[in-house]
Amino acid sequence: MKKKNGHLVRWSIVLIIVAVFLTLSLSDVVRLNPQLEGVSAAKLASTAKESSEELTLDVLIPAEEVPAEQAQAPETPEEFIPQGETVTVSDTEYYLVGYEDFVSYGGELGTDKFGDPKTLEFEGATYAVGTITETETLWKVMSTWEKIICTTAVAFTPLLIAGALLLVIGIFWSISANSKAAGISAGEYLSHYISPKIILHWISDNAIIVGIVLLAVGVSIFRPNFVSEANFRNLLSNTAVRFIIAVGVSGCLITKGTDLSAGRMTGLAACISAILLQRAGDYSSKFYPGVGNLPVLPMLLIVLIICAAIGAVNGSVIAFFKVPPFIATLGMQTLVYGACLVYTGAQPIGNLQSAYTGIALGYVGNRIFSYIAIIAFVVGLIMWFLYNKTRYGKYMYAIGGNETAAEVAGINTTKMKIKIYTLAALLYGLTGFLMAAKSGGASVNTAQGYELEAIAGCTIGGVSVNGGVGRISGILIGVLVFELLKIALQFLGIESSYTYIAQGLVIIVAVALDLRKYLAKK
Amino acid sequence: MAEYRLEMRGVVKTFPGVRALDHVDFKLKPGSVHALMGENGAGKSTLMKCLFGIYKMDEGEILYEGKKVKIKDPLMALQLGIAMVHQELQPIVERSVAENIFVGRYPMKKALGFIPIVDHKKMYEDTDKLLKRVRMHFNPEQKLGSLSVSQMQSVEIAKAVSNDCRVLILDEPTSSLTENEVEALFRIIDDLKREGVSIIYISHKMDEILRISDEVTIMRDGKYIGTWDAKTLTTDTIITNMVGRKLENLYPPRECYATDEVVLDAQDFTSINPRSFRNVNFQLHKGEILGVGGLVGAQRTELMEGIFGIRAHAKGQLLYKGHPVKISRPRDAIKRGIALLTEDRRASGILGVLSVSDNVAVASLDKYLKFGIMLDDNRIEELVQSNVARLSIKTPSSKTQIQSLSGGNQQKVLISRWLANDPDVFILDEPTRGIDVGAKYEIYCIIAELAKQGKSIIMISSEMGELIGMSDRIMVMCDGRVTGFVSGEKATQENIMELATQFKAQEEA
Repeated sequence: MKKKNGHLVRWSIVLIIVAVFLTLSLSDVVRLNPQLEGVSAAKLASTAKESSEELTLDVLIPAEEVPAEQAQAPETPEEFIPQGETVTVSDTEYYLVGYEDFVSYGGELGTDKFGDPKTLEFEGATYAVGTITETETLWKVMSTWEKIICTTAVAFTPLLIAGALLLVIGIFWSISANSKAAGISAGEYLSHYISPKIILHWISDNAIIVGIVLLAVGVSIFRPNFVSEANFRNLLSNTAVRFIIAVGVSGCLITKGTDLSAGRMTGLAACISAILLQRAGDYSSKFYPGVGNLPVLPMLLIVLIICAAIGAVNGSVIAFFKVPPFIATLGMQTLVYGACLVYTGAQPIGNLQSAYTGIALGYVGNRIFSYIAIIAFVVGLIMWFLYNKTRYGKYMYAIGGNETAAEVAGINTTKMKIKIYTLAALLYGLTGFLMAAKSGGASVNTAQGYELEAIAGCTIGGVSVNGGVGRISGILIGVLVFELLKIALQFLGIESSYTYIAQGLVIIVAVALDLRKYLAKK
Repeated sequence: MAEYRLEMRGVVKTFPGVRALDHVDFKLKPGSVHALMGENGAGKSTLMKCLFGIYKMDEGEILYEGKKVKIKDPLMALQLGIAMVHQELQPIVERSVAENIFVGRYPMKKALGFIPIVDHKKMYEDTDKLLKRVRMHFNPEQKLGSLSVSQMQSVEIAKAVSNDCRVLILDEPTSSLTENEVEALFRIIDDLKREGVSIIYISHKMDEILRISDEVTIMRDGKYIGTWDAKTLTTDTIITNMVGRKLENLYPPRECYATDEVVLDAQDFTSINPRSFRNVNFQLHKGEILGVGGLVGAQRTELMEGIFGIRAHAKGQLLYKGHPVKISRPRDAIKRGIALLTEDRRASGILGVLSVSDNVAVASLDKYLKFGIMLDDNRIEELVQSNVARLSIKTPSSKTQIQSLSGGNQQKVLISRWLANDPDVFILDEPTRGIDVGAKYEIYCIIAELAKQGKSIIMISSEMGELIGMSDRIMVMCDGRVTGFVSGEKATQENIMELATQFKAQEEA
């Protein structure tokens, strides 16, 4: 009986999440198509079919075909059916059209400041640049995804309500079933889980999280525009990146180590990614002049391999030479910084390929669910699986709990430590890659000091400095809450100089509270 | 003077999931030796820790010399005149004996008239006097770490006594003492008694208890059972009250299942440390229980750690089932089918912050996989539950942190861990140390059953009764060398002791 109830609650939560996702996607669709603003859900599709949208297509015409005196545009231009190849120059897509067709479509030539036709050089030939304007129904212009959203929009709110109802039913059902199974009244059963004493205990165990959430609530009340989609997107975007680093460091912390080289490694990864993925072209800041656009994924692989190697060195030094992790990674931090300095020549790197920076701009459904956020989520899922459902996870917690006992139980602590530091470095590499895409560039200062935030996030989230304890969900909350603190302080108008003080205090208090849990034997 | 120097009334102490003390009463007369007995988990240590201020009582009151007191921390207890020598020592090994004794209250003097500095001369002099009082002869200036475990324990007692205490709590004081040292301890206790000190003596060793105590209090499952005049007690009555039922025998009836097949053959096994085990030769047969006897310091644990790969060896070889094997790390041994239950489970046995379930399964996770990589939680839970049932492990749930279990139950969890691997050779180092009578019997039955199934067992033990009662053969060591073998039937305390002291262990002082 209990299993069934648990499922109802779980599935209703899934339903609610799906409904929220769809609603957010709808709001994004409306944002991109202002004609749909204010339209009721049922009428979205029909409105789209009735409204018209002007579509401007960029066109290239072979220059020699353009006469000095331009022909008159016909009264009723023919409909331009795009066919044939398109050509992409400097991130703009152009259709190739002959001059006669161009005129019949009612196209307009672009002009430079002298009034002459604007031209473009491409593969040895010269082209005139023009535009063709088409009027289409909004419906024809929308992507398949937008069409689906519009047609199904009616169902979103009902779905949300259904989910909420099922959740409430599920909770009540499970309470009554469980209390019946235990032979006590529902009130008694609840008092087991929700008594003032238990709540107080939970609050004191999670004091920092509670404190910061209260701060955020306070800020929302006094500055209502704190609660905005833009702010939330910002929060999520910053959290996603720091979350991946934090998850990497968590393995080191759980085994009673640490990784102070996280920030610099992320920076190095960002620089290497940026350098390898610079746009082809002839500009002064190009690192490898003459090298064209390299493919994105293989470059990511290269960055990951380099970082993994550095992580392996960390792990080996710690496991074989027994150098305390604090010292080993501190040394590596400086080493990596130096390497990055040498490699980049202290020059910032910019002019990245749009295929690369596009990763940071892409999203699913709503801008909140950016590719980066999704990647972070997937990383979280994979690491959760690793920590909880595999031997790797159990061995890691065992080593953290008692390394001697773990060794006696037959765990290869040396191999595990190397794996842990290598995996951590892989995650830093991924993060650096994403950060450069997000910022459109990188420098030797990218991600400087991020390890402290990562360790703070982990500690707030329950990863104990005593080792052997820590959960992915906790890490996510810890990082999120720390970011929330930063954003809240910023929103209150507090200078960033002061926020450092606040952050430092939070870090110290987080560790102190963490240790208190283990000293509370009295 | 009040009739009782110390009274504890209605003490209640609860830990998550476990009620350690359930309205316990305790009355201590002045100038008497009062033994506190009970199975593991009965609450003896917990009660004393409440008295000494390490734990805070949930309910209850303490009366000292007739007056109600609230003991907030060990410092307060010490100031009142209550001192405790713990079961698990916390020595500061890098510092001298004197510093350890006077830690936190060093005698001070003023340099140049006003700068307070430590008065080392006085400290060493005072230490000398104290050590003589407890009949110990070491140099107060030597590093504590250079002493043996039993000597460190004596230093602890000296420390406790130095506080001019009126109540001295000794928690399992003889667990790592040799017979001579036990005698020395008893002489100290007699001296103290004559001075009017009351002594609370927690122990499992019934013969000792019956020898030196005036009164005996027995606890069971956190409850106070009763207090008796020691003269009226017998071993049987004690056991019955401790366990709540009569125990027919201390050891299960045994047959010798040893065969001629040699499973483990150690040849000239020598440690890299010249003062540790050397030139060890022995053979372990299939189905045999080989006891390993000897005094503390005989290097028995070190030898087994060497065989298991925790320590390095310089010379000699090991043949497993006839083939030479190279074991340089524990997992090499485990792969071959050897298991080691270590002597100090807190240091190298249990994974404290992890759950009972994790502790049981950790060495055999390879066998519980789904799709080659994912842990099969259901089968692991089955494994844990079957062990909990089979070994009567008392735990609120399989997800409880193992460090909140009593010592005996922790040991059972560790045994389950090894059973899950189905090894052929079990090396057990003091398997029943700190375990109550009832659980001991259960463990002996498990060991006997394993032998019957054809497993081979090496059992290090410092308890003569256990050694003689359980072993088919006994190997005796002294000072790192094997001095002889005695067959189970012909073994007596005397001939084992003779072999154990053959090289007249150098005065460890």
